[in-house]
Amino acid sequence: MLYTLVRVLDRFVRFPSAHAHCDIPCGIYDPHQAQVDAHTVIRMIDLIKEAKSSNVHSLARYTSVKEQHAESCKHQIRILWGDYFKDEHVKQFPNLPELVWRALKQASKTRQGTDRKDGEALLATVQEISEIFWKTKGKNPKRVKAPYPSGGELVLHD
Amino acid sequence: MEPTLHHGDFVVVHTFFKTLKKRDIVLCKHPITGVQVIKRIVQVKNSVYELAGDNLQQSTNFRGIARQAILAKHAFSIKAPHMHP
Repeated sequence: MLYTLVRVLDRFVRFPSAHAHCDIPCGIYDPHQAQVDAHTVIRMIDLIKEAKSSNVHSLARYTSVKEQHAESCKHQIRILWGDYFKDEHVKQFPNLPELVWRALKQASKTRQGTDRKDGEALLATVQEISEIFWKTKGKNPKRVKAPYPSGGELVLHD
Repeated sequence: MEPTLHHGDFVVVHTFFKTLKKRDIVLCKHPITGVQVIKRIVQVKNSVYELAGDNLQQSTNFRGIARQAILAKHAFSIKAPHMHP
């Protein structure tokens, strides 16, 4: 009853709102998706190289997925940078801003071309960021062989 | 802040408090975004506060919160009945 009354009043008065999180859902961050995106970019580059030039349909699909995952990788890195990493992390890992900047640039580069080395460079940078991320969480990062056709590694933690 | 507060609850706060102590629920200004956030004081050291939500699995602690960043103290809540069955 009281709640209903206040709610009706709120429609006219518009009470200020307060959040219980800074950016819902706060506290759930993981660099895994950025790594999966970078692996997908490498895989798509491989498939583009293997595809016959006459197979326009497949080439279009591979290129489209490469674009999507490169952009997704940038999005994931931006979330970590904007919402998770704090001043204290940058003090602890002074190369972090440069790594983030490099990952964003490198992801754009993989969209522009089909050089596998660009994809590998993106993955390497994302993995360095991942290792820093897990260290800031007090976890011990470790590299394992990625179970993907793109090869390379994945950064996980103990 | 679940299970204490749920989305849609109305919270009445006041600004005429003299002291703040551990376990108090407060309205504070987010140190980075400036958004008004409701959290609970979990630690006080030399007038510097650490805040956390009650839903510890979802919440990120705010450390090093100065007294000036705390805008108001929780008085009582009017709970949304559909969120508090």
